[in-house]
Amino acid sequence: MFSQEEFQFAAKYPFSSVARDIVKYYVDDFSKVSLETKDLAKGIILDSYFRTFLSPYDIKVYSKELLLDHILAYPLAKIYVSIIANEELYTRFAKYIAKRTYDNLTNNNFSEVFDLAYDLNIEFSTKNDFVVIPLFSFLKVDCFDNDNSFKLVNQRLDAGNVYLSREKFAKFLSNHIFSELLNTLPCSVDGLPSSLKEEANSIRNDIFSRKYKISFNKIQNIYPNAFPACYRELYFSLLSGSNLTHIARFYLAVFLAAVGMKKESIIELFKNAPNYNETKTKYHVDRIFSKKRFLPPSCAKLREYGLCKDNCNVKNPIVYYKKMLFTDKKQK
Amino acid sequence: MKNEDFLKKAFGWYYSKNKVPAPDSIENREFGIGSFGKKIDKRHFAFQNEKELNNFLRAEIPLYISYSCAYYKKPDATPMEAKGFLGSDLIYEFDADDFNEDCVDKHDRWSCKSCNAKGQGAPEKCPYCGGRVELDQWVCKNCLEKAKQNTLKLISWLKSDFGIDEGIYVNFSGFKGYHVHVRMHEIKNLKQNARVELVDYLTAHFLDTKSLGFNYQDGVFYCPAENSARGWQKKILLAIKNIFMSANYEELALATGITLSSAKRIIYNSDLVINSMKNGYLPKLFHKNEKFWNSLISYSINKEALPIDRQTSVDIKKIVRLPDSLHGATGLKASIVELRDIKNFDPLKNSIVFPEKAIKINVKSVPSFELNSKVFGPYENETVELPAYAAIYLIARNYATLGG
Ligand SMILES: [Zn+2]
Ligand SMILES: [Zn+2]
Repeated sequence: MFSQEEFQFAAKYPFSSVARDIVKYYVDDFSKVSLETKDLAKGIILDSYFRTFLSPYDIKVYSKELLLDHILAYPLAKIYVSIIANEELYTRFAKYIAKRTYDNLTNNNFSEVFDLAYDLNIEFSTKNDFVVIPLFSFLKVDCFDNDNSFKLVNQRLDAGNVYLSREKFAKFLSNHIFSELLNTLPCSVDGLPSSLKEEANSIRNDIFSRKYKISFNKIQNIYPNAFPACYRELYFSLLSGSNLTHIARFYLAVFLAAVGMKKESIIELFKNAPNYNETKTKYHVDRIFSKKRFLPPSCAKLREYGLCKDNCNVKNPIVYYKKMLFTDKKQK
Repeated sequence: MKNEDFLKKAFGWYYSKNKVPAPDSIENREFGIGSFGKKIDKRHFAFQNEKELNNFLRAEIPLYISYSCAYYKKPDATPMEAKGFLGSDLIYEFDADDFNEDCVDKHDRWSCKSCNAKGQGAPEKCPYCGGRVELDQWVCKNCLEKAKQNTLKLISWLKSDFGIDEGIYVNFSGFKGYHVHVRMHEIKNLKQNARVELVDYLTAHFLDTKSLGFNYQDGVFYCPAENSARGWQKKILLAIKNIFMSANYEELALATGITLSSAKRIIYNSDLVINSMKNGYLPKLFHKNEKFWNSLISYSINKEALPIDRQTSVDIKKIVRLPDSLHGATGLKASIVELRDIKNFDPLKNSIVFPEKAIKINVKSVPSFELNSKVFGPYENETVELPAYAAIYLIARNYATLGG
């Protein structure tokens, strides 16, 4: 039916036409989607409203089932947002999805820009290092209002073609997604099952009562995207079923425990490893949760073990995570 | 006979002998007409075809007739919302008033309502008391030539920058300038904000030199490398290059605010400037390197930008003079000009439709003006005999009455 690649693409770009086809194929009643999907949808909305950008969207899982949760979370989030019916939320939601898109494109070194542009039916060609868009296609995309750098007057325009660098093209696509999404909000919510309305209302309460605060002891979810790059890498390779070395597994567990992940959840997570050994894992995790507190090592230390590939230079991973979690990362 | 009746008689004579071509998709256009001293009096007219239009012109003899740049399902419906908007052409207007040519001081006059002061030129307010001034505006060959140059520049940019080389129609406005109509499928469906983008491009509105790659950093003034420069990058580089190549040190001094003697010294660096541009930077020619280039860049932008009115060019509901109809304030024809003929087109000659036959008129105070390669005036409250076209010109402009 749909290939692995299509699933992964759709999970990253859940507004794409591939994603829409997948959604159409798998769902006719959104009130019956999995709890995970509902959680993810809620996560997207809270993230977008509080501008935290924390939910895992740099999706490195491979199981189609998990990917499907991510794909479905987006249309469900749109439904919730439309029921909540708040202008500010519309804008923040659209901004969040646009930012996520741009980050995903950037993280992949822009290798997916062409696939995405193709999927979105944007007319373009390439010439040398430039992406070439016909003037009238460029003008159809609403992306100039906020930012003069996308005004036509500031483009390399020649004989009816606009020349953009790949990076700028990625920004162009994400701006396009922003305005397209904003234009389609709110979507029609007539005749939806009342359970969806109740769920949306509870999200509304979370947002507007402003009681929703992320704190380490109450935390249910962890936010891998706020991890320092090296820990994020370890986390996602474990999730995707790679075997980590003993030391890598140990430090990851230390880090996860330190940021509030429950013992049981950590053990669950380690079950992803092909050579998972229950006794060994329990022993180590118990040790970590025993009175003697371990501290997750700095990037420099991880690099000594060959575990940090990026030069992320994080001295204290927990402080880093907290900062990422609690700073309101406002877009410029 | 009253001025208006006389003009109507003259216009009626013209329309009975000449056919005004129907604009494209005439059945979807809204028309508006005007009377003496009032360009638009009534709107919401519609015609099914050229014949209906010309019958109307012959029967009603409006002194002005305009049509919508928009296409409507029901062009004569009111209010506007009921018309059913289907799309719109692009129309750019170049008016001699907008250019502030030196000749404005020569042929325009003003008078102050509050203190009765008078003078040459077209000040915004009275230089003596700050009161509101009444302007007495004239056009001459010079200002119309300037409007034509801008029209030609626009046409060349439409092709070189926008890639449009079809569906461009030009006509003389009948008075002070030119109208450029752009009619094509992609244009018709453009949204308002896209129209703003186009006019902002032409007028260099919101141009950001940094975005375009002109950037002073660590003592070096970077610019886009010449061979990959496009759009405004190219225009700016070319304008700078031209100043150096033509060794125009006076312009250089004017543009950058440096002294004439410095400009004279610097201007001979054209080779250095050209070579540096190829390599993506602007050479250090003056000790205040950043300021020097920034001034020259802004000057070049202002020089290159087209003087188009932002507001009217994006108004998709406006109506404009119907090409080849008569202009009620001059009696000149808003002549359609084929693109290949623009260079040789002389609006003060080729747009004259009335004969040489002399007519006696009483002229108020007017400066000298040119029509049909002849210079008339100045006149100061006198009765003169002028060729019909010149008499009609002054009567339409309300500077004369029929003599008896
Ligand atoms: Zn005065
Ligand atoms: Zn003049």
